Amino acid sequence: MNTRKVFQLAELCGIKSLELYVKRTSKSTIGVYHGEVENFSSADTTVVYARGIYNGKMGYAYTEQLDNSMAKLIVDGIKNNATVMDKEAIQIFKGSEKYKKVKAYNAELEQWSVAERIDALKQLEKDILAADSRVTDSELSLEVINNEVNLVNSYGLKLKHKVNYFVVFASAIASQDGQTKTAFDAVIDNDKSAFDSAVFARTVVDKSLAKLGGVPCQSKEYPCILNPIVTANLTQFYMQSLKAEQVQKHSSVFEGKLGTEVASKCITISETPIRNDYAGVPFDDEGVATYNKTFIDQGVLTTYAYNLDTASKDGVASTANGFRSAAGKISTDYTTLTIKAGKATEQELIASLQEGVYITDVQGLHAGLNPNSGNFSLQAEGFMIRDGKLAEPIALITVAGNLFELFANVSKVANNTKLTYVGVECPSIQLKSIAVSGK
Amino acid sequence: MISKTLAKTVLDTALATGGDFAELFAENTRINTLTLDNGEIVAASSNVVSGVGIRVLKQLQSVYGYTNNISAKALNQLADDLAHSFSGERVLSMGDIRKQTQGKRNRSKVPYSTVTNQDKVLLLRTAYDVCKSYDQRIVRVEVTLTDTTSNVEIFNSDNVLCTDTRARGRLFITAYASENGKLETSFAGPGAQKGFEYFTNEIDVKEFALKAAKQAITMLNADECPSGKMDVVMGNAFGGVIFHEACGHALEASSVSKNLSVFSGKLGQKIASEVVTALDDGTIDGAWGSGNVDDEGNKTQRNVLIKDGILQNYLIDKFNGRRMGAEANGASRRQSYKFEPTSRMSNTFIAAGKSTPEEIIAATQKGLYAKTMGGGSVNPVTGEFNFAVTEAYLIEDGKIGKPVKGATLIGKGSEILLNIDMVGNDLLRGQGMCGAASGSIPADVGQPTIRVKNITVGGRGGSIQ
Repeated sequence: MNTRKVFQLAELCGIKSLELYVKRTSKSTIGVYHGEVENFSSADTTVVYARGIYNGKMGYAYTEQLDNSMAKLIVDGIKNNATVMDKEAIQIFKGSEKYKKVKAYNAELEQWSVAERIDALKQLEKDILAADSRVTDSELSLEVINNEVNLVNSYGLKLKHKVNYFVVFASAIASQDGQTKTAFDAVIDNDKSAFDSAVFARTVVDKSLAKLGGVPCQSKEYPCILNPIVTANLTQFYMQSLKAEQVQKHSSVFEGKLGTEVASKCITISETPIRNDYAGVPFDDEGVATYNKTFIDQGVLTTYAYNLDTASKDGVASTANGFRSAAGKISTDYTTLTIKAGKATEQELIASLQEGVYITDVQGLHAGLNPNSGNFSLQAEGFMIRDGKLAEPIALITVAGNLFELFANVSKVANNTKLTYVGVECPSIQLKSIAVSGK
Repeated sequence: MISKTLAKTVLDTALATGGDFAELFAENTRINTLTLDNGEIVAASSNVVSGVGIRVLKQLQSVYGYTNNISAKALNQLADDLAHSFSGERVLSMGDIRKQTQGKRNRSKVPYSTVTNQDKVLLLRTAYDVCKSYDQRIVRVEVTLTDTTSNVEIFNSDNVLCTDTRARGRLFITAYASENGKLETSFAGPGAQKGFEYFTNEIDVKEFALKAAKQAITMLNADECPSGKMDVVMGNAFGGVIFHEACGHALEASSVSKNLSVFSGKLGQKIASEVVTALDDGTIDGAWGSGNVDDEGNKTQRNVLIKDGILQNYLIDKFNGRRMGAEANGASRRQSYKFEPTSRMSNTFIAAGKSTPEEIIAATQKGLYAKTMGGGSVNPVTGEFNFAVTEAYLIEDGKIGKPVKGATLIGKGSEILLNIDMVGNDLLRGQGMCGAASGSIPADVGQPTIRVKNITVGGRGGSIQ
């Protein structure tokens, strides 16, 4: 693609500095149903995200139309949009001194042929359906994704990052006594040996079978353990309020709380972009070199998450959290978040409770949880804990509380850390109590 | 975008190995977004989504590919790659493609391409000023206008070309209220498949801005909602999200055709209380979820899903219709060319009944008035759904009492539909984005005020007394 033309036209039209972030994605997805390939899809797209400074203001545009009109689309978009901006633009980034290497691309994955992938899925379906007579059906897919990013700007900065990975998704449907339950899981990696069909099938099947017979429990406040997936989901929402943008606009409860204890002493939350797996990211979408850092250290808030714009407002350096939102504008986001593991096993946490609930699923996060106020009330599933052991399954209950109180009331953190498909690496956590509404 | 000659060649290539249906979906979409946050325009962007998706069906198998390289070479290559998924002999060849007349609904009077950024900013400021000045406890107001103008061309192996233009605009108003360390937010988001005239002539954006401000302030000092089973009166408009989640998704052919839905095989049976009649109507002129044709080129329809409690119809796309032995009924949709289309809702609502909202409240001894709903989700296989209530009040002795916050309603679709016992006469629709297999699509939900007996309410305020 000819990006030089865009720079030339931009300069001609008075756009003082320009940044292009070109992202190419190729994807192939296979779905198998009842021993046959039900769907196959193949995709290749390139998007050019642009921003530039015109009359001191920043305008944004992105395009998937990459023909001769591309340069004009971008330049007109930037000019029109910059004109109505009230804020003076920060500068386009000249580059970090050093960029750490991450190995997020595995060439071996390219060798995984479509035929082999179809066979792997067919085997997985067989493994799931054969695992137990109560399993009535399953849905599964396998996707292989390649992303390549090129960032270039008027200051001569040129950065490149490549990543590939696969996602195997499977759900199992189990029925017994007129009740139907489903459970799903996913394996994400770029080393295909991380996917073991038999083991994965067993996991998905066991998850769905364990739910059979689940009914609501008595409504009351229970001591509670959240499994890694639920913890991961809640952590993502919790971290929204650590974004400097929220703090600067007075819509974060963490405003004025830097250096103070905001969470339980057993909570340490870090970000780990420098890693040699598919989640590794060497620079953010503004070209700032990423680095591993701790946001909450034993309960104490150590820094907010900054992009270049919010950092300049607070007079600090960007924490390399400048990532694009869906509309293409640079906003704030995280790479992989990690909650530090504790010492106890999950079993020991469960064993410490006379009566409690073990939550394995929460639903409706996008609506039932307000990331600003932290209030949540969510449909949930899991198990009762009785006499220190997991007991009967519970379903169609809600758990309600406040996210900020929840993280302040974590009493123990287990050692079963895993990188969940949610994109957060975390263990199970134990809460003093949670409000459960059931029967 | 794509010439008929090119489409014909590409589809012929796609059919070379025994495909019995092929389709080419081309799209060029302009998206403009402006955001006013705390009084300043902080973001302005103009984006183009553009590309082609090709689908080939062979009995119960489907292959799909997409690219934004729309050169003849790239499209033929993609069609050839897709054809290689099958290994049979050709059964179908393309003839000459004829263009169908484009439908006349959903035309913009003031197209977004003619509106300047400056005029859009004035609209944002109007909403902002009203919302921010309502109360000093409103600490932040964010107003965003997104307008989308999408031109689509759908060619298929029935030798047909359908085109449609979908221009939509939506205003997002978020109010943040804060007092004594407590923080509440509220949201209003009117939108339509109309031009800019919708905001300047048809609705009063001040009203929506005021509503957002009032709700944030009310919820700031609301008590926690009690929990337990109770009778719930649900407000109209976006309240219809209950039907969307509890029933609509489970009527989509994607789960019905595989017998995975709780409503599979239940046509003609009573699945809801007799006061419930529900429709999905993609033909409403200018409505948020409408289209002249759906995303596989079928004319949109007004589908009666439930009449007086009896299941009448499902939402059916071409591919899943094959498994069901049923014709597609104008309900196949996708977010963009990056998604294979499947059965989805458009504008889905419960039809108006006879009671006034006041009568419904007065008839409720004790319960919850869920005035405004947030979103929700459902598992179509188990029918278990949830959705959030963003503005709620307790009902005592047939009267609306104090505000409560943090309520979520959960249940099973099959049970909740049978427990709707009163339906009001104040039908309204509200706008939302619906996410599923074929992406995030604009969809209206709607209902009059309704009452549901004995539904589980989750909250932190202890058991209901």
